[in-house]
Formats: sequence, structure tokens, C-alpha cells
Amino acid sequence: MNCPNDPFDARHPNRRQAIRLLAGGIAALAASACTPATIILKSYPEQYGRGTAATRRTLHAFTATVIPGLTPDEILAVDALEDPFYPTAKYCAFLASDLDRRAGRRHDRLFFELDLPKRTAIITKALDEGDATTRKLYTGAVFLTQAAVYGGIHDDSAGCRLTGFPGGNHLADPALVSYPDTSRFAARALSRDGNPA
Amino acid sequence: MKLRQTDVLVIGSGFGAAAPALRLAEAGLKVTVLEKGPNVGPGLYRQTQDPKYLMKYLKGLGSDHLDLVYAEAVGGGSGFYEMVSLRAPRVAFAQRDGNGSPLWPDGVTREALDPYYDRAEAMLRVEQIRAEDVPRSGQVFALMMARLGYSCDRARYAVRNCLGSGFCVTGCIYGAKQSLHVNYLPQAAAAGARITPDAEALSVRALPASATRSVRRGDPRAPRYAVRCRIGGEGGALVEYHAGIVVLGGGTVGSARLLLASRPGLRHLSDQVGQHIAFNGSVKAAGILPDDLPDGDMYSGRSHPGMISYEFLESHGITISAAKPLPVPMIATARLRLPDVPAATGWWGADNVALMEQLRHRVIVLFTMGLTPPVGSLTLDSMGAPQLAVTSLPALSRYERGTEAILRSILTRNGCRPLAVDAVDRTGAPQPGTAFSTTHQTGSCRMSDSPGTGVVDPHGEVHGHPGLFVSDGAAIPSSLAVNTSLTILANAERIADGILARYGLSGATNVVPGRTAVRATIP
Repeated sequence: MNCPNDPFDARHPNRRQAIRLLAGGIAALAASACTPATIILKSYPEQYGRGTAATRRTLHAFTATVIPGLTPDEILAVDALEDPFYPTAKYCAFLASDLDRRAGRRHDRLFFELDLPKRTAIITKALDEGDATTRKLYTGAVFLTQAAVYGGIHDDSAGCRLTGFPGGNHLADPALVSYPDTSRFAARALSRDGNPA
Repeated sequence: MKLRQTDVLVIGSGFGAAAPALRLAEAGLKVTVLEKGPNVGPGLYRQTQDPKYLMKYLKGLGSDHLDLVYAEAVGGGSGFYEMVSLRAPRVAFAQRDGNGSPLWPDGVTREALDPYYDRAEAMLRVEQIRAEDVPRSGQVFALMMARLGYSCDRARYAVRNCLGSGFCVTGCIYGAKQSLHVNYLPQAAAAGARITPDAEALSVRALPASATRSVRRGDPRAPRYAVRCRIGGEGGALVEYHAGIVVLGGGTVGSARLLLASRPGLRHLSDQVGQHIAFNGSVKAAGILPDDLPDGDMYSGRSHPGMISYEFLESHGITISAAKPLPVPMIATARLRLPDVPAATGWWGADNVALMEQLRHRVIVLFTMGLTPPVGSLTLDSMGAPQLAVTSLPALSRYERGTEAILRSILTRNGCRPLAVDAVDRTGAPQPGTAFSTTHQTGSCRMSDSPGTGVVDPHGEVHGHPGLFVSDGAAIPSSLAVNTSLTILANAERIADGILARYGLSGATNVVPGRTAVRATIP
């Protein structure tokens, strides 16, 4: 379905204005799960408010799917998706509800109850086949999750265990910064002092 | 609106602004420096990947094919750059436009800048890195070049007693980086300059001659310009400064934006404002190292890996380095992907984790800076917001493909397994086609011999507007193929000397290097 209203770009009308603006047609859009209409009307179950247990549980499963191999504690530390600093916070409730809706439709289960291949397939399908806003939302959520985990953004010193990123405020052993046998790595130099001619 | 008087108003506090601020203050003029961004410096930096911190100081301007990143903070980009301080090669000054006309004005050459490079290098304590300090990723890169018979040089940096913590680009918490906070800016303040952060210049207008105390051309204190500013950030107080000399040092984006917004008050302003933005055509390639090459290390040692190759400078107009991006800048720039996994899914999930687990030690990232033509432009939309555009896309695409082929050849002939590097936009979505991102933008108010081809004259003075200068990267007319900071600073020193000569002032022109590293304890 083509959904021209992009809530990332448009000013957000409040609920009453949205209903007035979109009148009867919006109901049909929402019923068919067009992402912008669903977000504007908040036409997803109440348990998916920001910070609710249902939302958090689903978003944690999303994080575990985007970056398999994280420990439960590492997943808990990732709260970027709900952080109001980032644009995804406004849409994380929809994201959680949409993940569960897709999981229910395909597997009659909640998203967090599925195994990794099934969760991966659901996100892949949303990225591949969703409307433009859905793709943008899922892409942004994956992107932010990766930045949050690989960058360890929740804690300056945390780093990322999976990649070996040490985080800030650690000094490497100087002996490990450079190889000592420097002549092995010497290349012919074109300059006298490092400056190009 | 409050009215304030100053002899010299300097807009910005980065490489292009700091030298005029210091030299004109040393000459006894009352200098006011307005910095749009917040205060920052040693003691306020963090070693972090937290976007809330990074976005406080680093700003971006994007388009479909070009992304510019720049700093808005006291000290400008000097707080956040990789400290690489290289003179621009002669071939950069010899570039010509499509009509065969030189990009650089008559007399502004490497030889003309060399004395100012000398001064800038002394102030920043620039030195070539010692072989034993080259980080492992740089050593591996040099070895790869050597195996192919190519040259590779140790680069030069503005740093003292580097501890190699790897967070140069978020600010050096140890004070080892010789940013402008430890040399030009404190010396300017000591000479009487007043530096005000969170102060945005909104517009400049020429004062009518009758409104000035003196219309004598040679009096630097005679107020010629009114600069409307907002002090204190959003919702702050409006202040109008009257100044005899105004120096724009807000960078390629900031200076063009201000001049474009000032067109009603600057009748003789060239129609070239915002045009001819160069961006050092950066192309990236990455690969997994073969077993016969030792580990690199993406996160140990200074942010720039120490080595740069000039092998292809004369032949292809490019320099090649390795890169050690921190995680967030890397993810924000490109998706790395194993080449045999689908583009749609290979950038996340298990395949991506498998790659990311190798990133620190077994992935080498190569990137180029090149003499790409100045084909970017900046305009203001109806709301006054800057809009960026690029022309000559076919030529840029050819450059990108040709350069990428060189990088991939270096990787494959060394036995590396090349990775797909898919550029992304600010939302993380793929950016198909030719796309450049850079922190090395120049131009937008370029130096020229006439107002028909540029905005300022070879001395940095705006054509038709005596006393109004552009001294930053905006005045630099071309790509340089190396990091731009030292050239911007050297040219700003040259422009400052020109201002002193223009008004018959004699500055002390002290060359006092910054303090040596403060070996702070880890907080």
C-alpha cells in the first residue's frame, strides 16, 4: 500500500486533528495496517505504550535479533530505542506492536516467543516488504540498535564485548599499540618529513 | 537590541578564526570572538560514543550525494580532528577548472604559504610520527603498500606525548592534542581578545559612511559593519556589534550561510557565495586481512593510523591512508558487509555480527582523499536553512569507481577478502549511487582575482567590501588531497598578516607553541 504521509517528515497532528484531517478514509488505512495511519491514530493495543512491559519485552527481542549473541544483561543495557533523544522513541510503541502483530499473523505467537530464525525472518520481511514508512522505521531502529550496542553508548567505559571495542577511559598497554619490529613494516617514503611535495 | 562596539569582530573560533583573533589582538586592537557553539576543551571532553555528546558539538549538512560534517564549538574542529597536519601538495595549487582557469588566485601557492605553514606548525607543535609510535593498523597498511612496491610515509601530527587512547575524535582528555585551546585561543585571550561561546552571528550589513566615526579607509577602528548576533543560544539576547574589521571564520558552511543571509546589507557581494565547495573526494574500501598479514587494531593508538601514501598523488590526484573509525562514526557512514551475503540482510543479524567480531583486528579500512573538483554548492531555502547540492555527478562517479578500483586492487593483491561498503544516509538507509562524506570541505567563499569567479580577493577581503574578510576553509578554492586544517590555519595566518599590513599595524606575531601534554588521570 502506498502511504504518502510520512510521520518522520510531516508535522504531527494531534489525535483530534488527525481524525478531522483524514476523516473516514483513515479508518480503512488503519485497518489495513498502513504505518502512518496506525501511528497517528495510535491504533495499536494499549499495552504497547512507551516503557510498558510488553513494549520492552518485544524491543529486547528485537535487539537480540539484530545483534545475536548478546547476553541478557547486555540487552537490558540497550535502551536507545526508547530514549526520547532519538526519533525512534516516538515510534517504539508502534514498532513493538507491529513486531507482535507480524509474529501473531505468521506464527500465532508473540515476537519474543519465537526463535532467532523466525524473528529474523519477520524483521527481514518488514524491511523488504513494508510500506515506505515501515521500512524507514525498521531501518532506523536497526541502525540505532547497532550504534548503541557496538558503540556502547549507554556507558562511556562499557565498550562492546562482541567486537572488542574497549570503550572510553581505558589505556592500552603501549607495547600492544605498535609492533616493536618497526623495520618489518617500513615502506619506501616519498617525502623528507612526511609532507607531500 | 543592545549595541556593542569592537575594533575587530571574529566570527568562529576554529582554525580559520583563531589566527586573525590572535594576531589582531597582539597588534593592540580590541578583538571580540563570537563562537556559535558551546564551550568545550580539555576538561570537558569525554571518551565516548554517546551521540548526545557528539551531536552537541558536531553538526552535519547532507544531500543525496554529499554529507559535510563540521564542528560548532569553541576551538572549532581542532578539538575533534585526528591531529593530522600536512601541507597541501603543489599539485593541489596547480588545479584548474573546466575552462582551464586556475582554481587558486595568482600568487597564492605552496611556496607563498610555506612561511605560514612554518608558523602554524610551530604553534601546533607539529611533528612527524616516530616509527615506533605508528599504530598497528598503520603498520599493516604500510606493509601492504611495501609488498606491492608502493611508498608510504609517516604522517605529521599536532600532538605532544600522545598516550594512544584512540579517542582523538571525541576530544583529547589528556591535553596531548595541540588543539587551539592550548595555543591560539588562550594567547588571544591573554592579548585581550574576548571569546564568547553560544553566540551566533545572524547577519552582517555595511554601515553607511555617515554612521561611522571615521570614513578613513586606513583606520581599522572606524566602524564599517554592523553584525547582528544572538548571544546565549536559542532564545538568547539579540546584540548588534559595530566593528571596523569583521573576519568570518565559521567554516565552509557557516561563513557562506552568514554571507547569504547578509546579502541585503552587503550590496557588492559576489553571486559566487555558496558556490565551488570542494570536498576532498573520500572513497573507502575495506577487506579482511589474509592469514599472512598480522593483526591490525582498530581501537588502540591515535585515531589516525600514522601512515599516508602519496604513491598515487601525481598520477591520480589521491592520497591513501588506512582508517580506524570508532564504532558510531563507522556505522553512521557505511554498512560493512561480507560480499557473499545479500545486501538487504547482510548488514545486520548473525552475518553482521560475524563480521563485526573480526573488525578490531582482522579488518583493514582504506580511504582516499582526492583532488575532486569544487562542484558543491550551498543555498538558503525560504526559511533560511542551508541546502547542499552537487553537480558533475558523472565525473564524480567515474572518479569514485576508479579510486575504489585502486583500493580494491591494493586489498586483493595483498590477499585480503574485500568487503562491501554501502554508504548510508542519516537515517541509516542505504544511499545508492555516488555519495561522499567528509569533514574536509573547503570553498563556498573562495579566493579569486575577480568577483566574477569568487567571493574574496587573494588577501581574504570580500570583493567590494573593505574590512570584511573570510579567513577560513570557505576561502580555500580547491580540494587538497590531504587533511585541510593546516592549510586553513596557514592561510588564516597569511590573511592576518595581510590585514596588519593593510592597516599599517605591527603585530608582535609571537610564535609560542602550546603547553605540553597534561598527563591527566583517567576520570
